[in-house]
Amino acid sequence: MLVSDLLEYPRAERAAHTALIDAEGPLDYRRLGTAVDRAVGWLRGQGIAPGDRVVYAGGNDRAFLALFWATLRAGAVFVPVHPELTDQQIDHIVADSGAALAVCRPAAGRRAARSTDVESAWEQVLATAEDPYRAEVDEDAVAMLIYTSGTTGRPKGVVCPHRQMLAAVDAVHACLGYRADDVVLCRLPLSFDYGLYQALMTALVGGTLVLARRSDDMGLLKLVERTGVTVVPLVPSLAQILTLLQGRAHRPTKVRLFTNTGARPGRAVTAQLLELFPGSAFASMYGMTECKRISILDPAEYAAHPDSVGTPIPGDRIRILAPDGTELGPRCTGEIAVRGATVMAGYWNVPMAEQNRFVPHPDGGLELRTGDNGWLDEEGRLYFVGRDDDVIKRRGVRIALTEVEDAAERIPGISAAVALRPEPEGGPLLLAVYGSVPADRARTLLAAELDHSRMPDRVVPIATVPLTANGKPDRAAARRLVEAAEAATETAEPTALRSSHEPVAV
Amino acid sequence: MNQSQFDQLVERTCSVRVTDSETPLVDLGVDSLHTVALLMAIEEEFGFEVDPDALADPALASPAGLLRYVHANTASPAGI
Repeated sequence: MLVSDLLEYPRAERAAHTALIDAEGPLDYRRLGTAVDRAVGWLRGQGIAPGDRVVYAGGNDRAFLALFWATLRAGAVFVPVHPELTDQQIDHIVADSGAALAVCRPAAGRRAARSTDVESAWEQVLATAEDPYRAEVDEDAVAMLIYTSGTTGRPKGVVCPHRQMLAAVDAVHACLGYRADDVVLCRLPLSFDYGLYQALMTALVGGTLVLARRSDDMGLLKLVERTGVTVVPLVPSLAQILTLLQGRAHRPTKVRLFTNTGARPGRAVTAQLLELFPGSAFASMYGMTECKRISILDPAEYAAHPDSVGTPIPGDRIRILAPDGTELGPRCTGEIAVRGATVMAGYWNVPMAEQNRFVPHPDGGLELRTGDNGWLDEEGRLYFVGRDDDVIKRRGVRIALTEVEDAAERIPGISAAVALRPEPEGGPLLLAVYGSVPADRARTLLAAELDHSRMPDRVVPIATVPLTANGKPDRAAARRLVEAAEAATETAEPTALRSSHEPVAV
Repeated sequence: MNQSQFDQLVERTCSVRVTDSETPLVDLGVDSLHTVALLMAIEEEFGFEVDPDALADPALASPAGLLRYVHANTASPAGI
């Protein structure tokens, strides 16, 4: 079975049911299926063959999903890219994936064999004849590459085979039980796995997916009410947006389930959310792109175990490892390691010896060393503690501090840069730079290299580069220098008055 | 309210520094949550309902654009 076969059930059995609602309006499964058939024809017309990589940098709409389903059905590899990434960032992904086709801005797609912008690709798709072709490829064939930040270097593509993706869909479904009458709000970008899997989970049951974008935020609650949303996948900022809006409007909604992964909203926000949306439940989850989902807390257990991210999903096993690699017992904090059906097939184009996170396990298969710290209780519930490396979550995106530093150090005149882990989490991201480039100029040049998630809030010049004994940037010492420099300019800071709408840090 | 006062409202609500009133909010580093908080603060301050689609228009998505939008939607545009 291929991931794209998930769409066959609702096409056959629920053709008249609304598959998705986007800015253009509703689209039923019959018409979505037709669009996918046209997209398959268009892709093959572009010379796309099984195994070819197709980079796609579009927003949350029907075009994205039609091209996604079609790419997989054609046996090709879908490489989703957030459209707000800079041209340089997309160009890296195009080149690293060896894209046969890049559907993105022309300046970003130059290194692909073919390139076209999103709008004209979609126009051409709609003008192409339907093509019923379905590639005969193995379940272990690659369905997607999802680029994500690691601890070192530039983003790497996580190799996602059909088999693992289907295992993840089945396992998550077994825990959350999306229903045929569910209406799932997808405000998360489809270019993130958490967003894209909403489309897979919804297709599995033949439900309805509501595709929202950032510009819909102010009207989000009205959208929830108008389209009858029942399931809302969250990130902390989205939880707070809904709390702000509903705290004022108190609209009746049909929301029955909130899910959350990655960083969690504060307990107070979650409590407020559950109170503001009567009849809703909260499923706290944990995972990372390298194995999609790892654990899910049964919503019924939330009240008793609000800090847990749940038990492993069916098919996965969690071990907690000491620094020397030995397995730790209950209530001991160590690195979270995962193996099982959803562990992906490593990083694209990276030799096994350099995979770092993916370690061959004696029992066969790969074990994922998450780099996250946590502990298990006696019943096997997982508690996430944090990370001790240089990876942070910012605006819902996993970013490596080294990515920010590398980008700064590519600017002529900057000889060293040190990015400081925001404290508290969600606080401003500060970048200390050493060199001959004024801070304002460095900021302007960085903006061409980095997307909003990776862009520092402030660039602070420092007069010396502190190094640790083994020659790595000493972040603690750099922090002291930056704090000294910031204190010197403190008087220029705007007075921080609290208004009733000022949210706590995300 | 003049532009400088409005920029202060943006700075207070969004925890950013407004270097240039014509710079789009996203480029000032305002995230989605703070954008909603800002629009709600505007509704409270100026007493009218912001069109949910207002920010879809790039011309309005900066502090200067938003203030023009506020003036167009309030009875006494010169009010302080």
